[in-house]
Amino acid sequence: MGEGSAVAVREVFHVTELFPADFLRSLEGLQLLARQISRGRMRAERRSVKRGSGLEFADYRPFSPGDDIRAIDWNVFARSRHLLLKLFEEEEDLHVHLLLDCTASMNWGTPAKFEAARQIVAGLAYLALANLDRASISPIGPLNPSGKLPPPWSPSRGRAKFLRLLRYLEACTVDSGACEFAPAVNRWLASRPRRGLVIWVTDAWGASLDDAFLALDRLRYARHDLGVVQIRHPAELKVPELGEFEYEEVESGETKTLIVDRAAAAAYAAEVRHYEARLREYCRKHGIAFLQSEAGESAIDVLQRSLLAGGFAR
Amino acid sequence: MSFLLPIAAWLGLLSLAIVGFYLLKTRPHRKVVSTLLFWNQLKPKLESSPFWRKLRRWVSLLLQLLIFALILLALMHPAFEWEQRAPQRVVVILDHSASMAAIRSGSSRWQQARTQLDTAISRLRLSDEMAILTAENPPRILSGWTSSQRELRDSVRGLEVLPTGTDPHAALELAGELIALRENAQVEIFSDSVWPPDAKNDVLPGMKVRGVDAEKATNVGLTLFAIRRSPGAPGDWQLDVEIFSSVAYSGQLELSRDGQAYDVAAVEGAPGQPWRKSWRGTAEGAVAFSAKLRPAANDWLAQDNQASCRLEALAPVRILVAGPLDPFLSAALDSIPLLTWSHVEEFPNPLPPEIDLIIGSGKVLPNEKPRVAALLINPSRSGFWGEFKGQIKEVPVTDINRQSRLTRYVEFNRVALTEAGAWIPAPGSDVWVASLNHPLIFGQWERTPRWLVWGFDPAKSDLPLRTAFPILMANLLQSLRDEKTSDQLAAVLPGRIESALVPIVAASASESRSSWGPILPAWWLSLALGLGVLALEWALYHRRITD
Repeated sequence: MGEGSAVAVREVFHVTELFPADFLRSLEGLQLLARQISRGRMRAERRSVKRGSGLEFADYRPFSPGDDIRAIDWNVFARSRHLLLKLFEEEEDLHVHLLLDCTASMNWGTPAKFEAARQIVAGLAYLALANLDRASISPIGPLNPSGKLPPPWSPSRGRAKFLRLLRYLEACTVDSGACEFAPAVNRWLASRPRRGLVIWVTDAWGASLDDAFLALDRLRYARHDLGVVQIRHPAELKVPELGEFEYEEVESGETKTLIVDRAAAAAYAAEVRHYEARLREYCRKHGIAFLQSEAGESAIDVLQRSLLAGGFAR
Repeated sequence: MSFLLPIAAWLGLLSLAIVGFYLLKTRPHRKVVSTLLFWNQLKPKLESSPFWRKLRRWVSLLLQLLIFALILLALMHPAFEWEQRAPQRVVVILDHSASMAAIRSGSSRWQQARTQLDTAISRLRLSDEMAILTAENPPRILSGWTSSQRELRDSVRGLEVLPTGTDPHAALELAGELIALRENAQVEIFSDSVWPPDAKNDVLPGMKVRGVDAEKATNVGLTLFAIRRSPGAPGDWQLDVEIFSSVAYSGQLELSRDGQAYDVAAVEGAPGQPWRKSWRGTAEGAVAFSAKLRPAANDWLAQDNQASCRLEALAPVRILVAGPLDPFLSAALDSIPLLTWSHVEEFPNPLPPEIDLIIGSGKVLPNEKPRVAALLINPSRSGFWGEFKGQIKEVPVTDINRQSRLTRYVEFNRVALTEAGAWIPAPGSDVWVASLNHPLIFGQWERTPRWLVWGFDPAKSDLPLRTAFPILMANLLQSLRDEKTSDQLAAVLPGRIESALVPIVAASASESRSSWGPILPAWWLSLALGLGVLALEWALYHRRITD
């Protein structure tokens, strides 16, 4: 990291409680770790699928009128009397789209999952910016938002944007109201984002059991590279207390009166485990990087785990 | 049952509040969750739970009303009949005679009595007092007046059934004296009342007999199992057995001698008629007999079906003869079995150890009463045995004590004594043989120190030629043996009265009727029941079954 970025980080130290100084220092360390890992794996930055004017040879194709004659491989012509055009990979900056789940369920529990989600998004954005990629942040929320959701953070490049990005994340809040992931993702796709890496930071608790999977399908069909960071709260995985309760869902306000005994609690835990296994299997099947985290877990640890495991953060 | 605090029933109105709260149906505790996604999947399964679960709230209400009712009942202080009595003092006479070990089916009379006593102790209130005596003579006071249930239980903890019968006379008398000193006191007898018949008169009106095992009992048992040596022939023994029953009986008696089977006898008898048999034999050494009675039927008491006794070995009598040796005496001593003797010229002082009899004669006499038995034959001077008054001639034997074991079977009538000493025996002396008020054989033989004087010289009579002489010597020596072995060695057995198992007093009906009632206070039972139902309600509330 250069001197300029160090200054930027120092400025941030005084900005926010959500991103304390030690968190930001840890991000610097994370960036160094990412570099070491990427140096061992591949020589260049991420590659585009486009062919263009890069330095690295990619393929041949027959010459057609209008092509740049400078790209003709004359050696081949001399041997075979065929005009073939040399194609080179075009290096371009990668677009990293960070989708932040801003539904009310993310703000549930202590500590809230939303805090962890914002820190992870900040970490991922920092890594992208430091990697000279373009990072954007898009809140995923209810269909008819109450206005609390900020507009998306448009793709930006360079570490100098990081301070503003943190302020943006600090201002991000959840929006109440029922939310279906699939329509929300559709709305984001309707803004025609450039193809790139999409990382969805969410609890994956959809309106239905298939909701999150439908949303992932939409993103896959749009030919994005995908990654999912699922953040759960320990109290969501099992029933902490037995008895008779009226449960109210934080998003929709729907209530259910239930008598929870040991058998019901066990059935609930089994349902949660089954859903998570299904999500994990879906991601494995479709080559989606998948990472699970808990609300109380340090975002730095989560990102570090992701780097070491060779996930979406490189 | 009645209530000591019936006004507490007004608290029953509070039950309306419980019902009211239920009718208001208090909302269940509200909880905000992040998602109902998974509960929505489970809801159909939960709703298809058994029917009774749907009624759980009403069952819970009923249980809570029941808990309230039981607590209310406890507050009203219900009291059983025994709780309402005035303060009482009870003297318990606990019979632990052999008949209390009788078993008909399962528990013995003793166990029944202990259980009844334990119940009575449990019902003691703080204002009550109890004392416990044993029905024996003399009675043992197991516990003085006390209200402490622990103290009373501790006092009877180590008490066991005796192998013999008991006489309750002294215990009944003492109990009567004890209750006379206390107000509102009574005697309760925990016994089968198998006692000597005259004890019936000692059971005064007002004394309650807590009868045990009211069913008519039958039993066959050994009532005598004893062995003794023959007085004439020390090596001979006789074993006597008696079996008795108040009903017709039959069976088999097995005898063992020193652990080996000795004899088997068939036993049969009519009601009240004892069956007796004796066995005889010879043994100078120790011999042990045991008997086992196997009745064909009608046997409640096991204690009197077995008995054992042991006859100790005969020890030889050790005699020291001091002075000139009389040939007739030495011949007589040689002829008597189980006897060792030696001779010294002078009367030893001190006496050597390990002798049983010293014989002095003429002028060889002791100066003081020896520590062992002493036979002085024709002493020539006065001494501790009496005052010598000279000689008398032609002495007819006129008086003989035939009841004494010393002179039993000794025919002195035909003995001709030509000369004898005229003696005034020492005060307290007995006279066994005399001639016209002149004592011929006198002394102190029934108590120690033993000494005996033959006031004549056997050599100057025809006594040594008569059979009376060896018999006299044999009686003398046998009486010394009696010190070492008792006459008859009998096994410890319950006896006829106990074996017959016939009660002499009917049990008090009122006491036996109340013995099965609850022993805990009614309020305590009510509270305990309430807590039990509370636990049930708690289990219902916290452990609901949904599938």
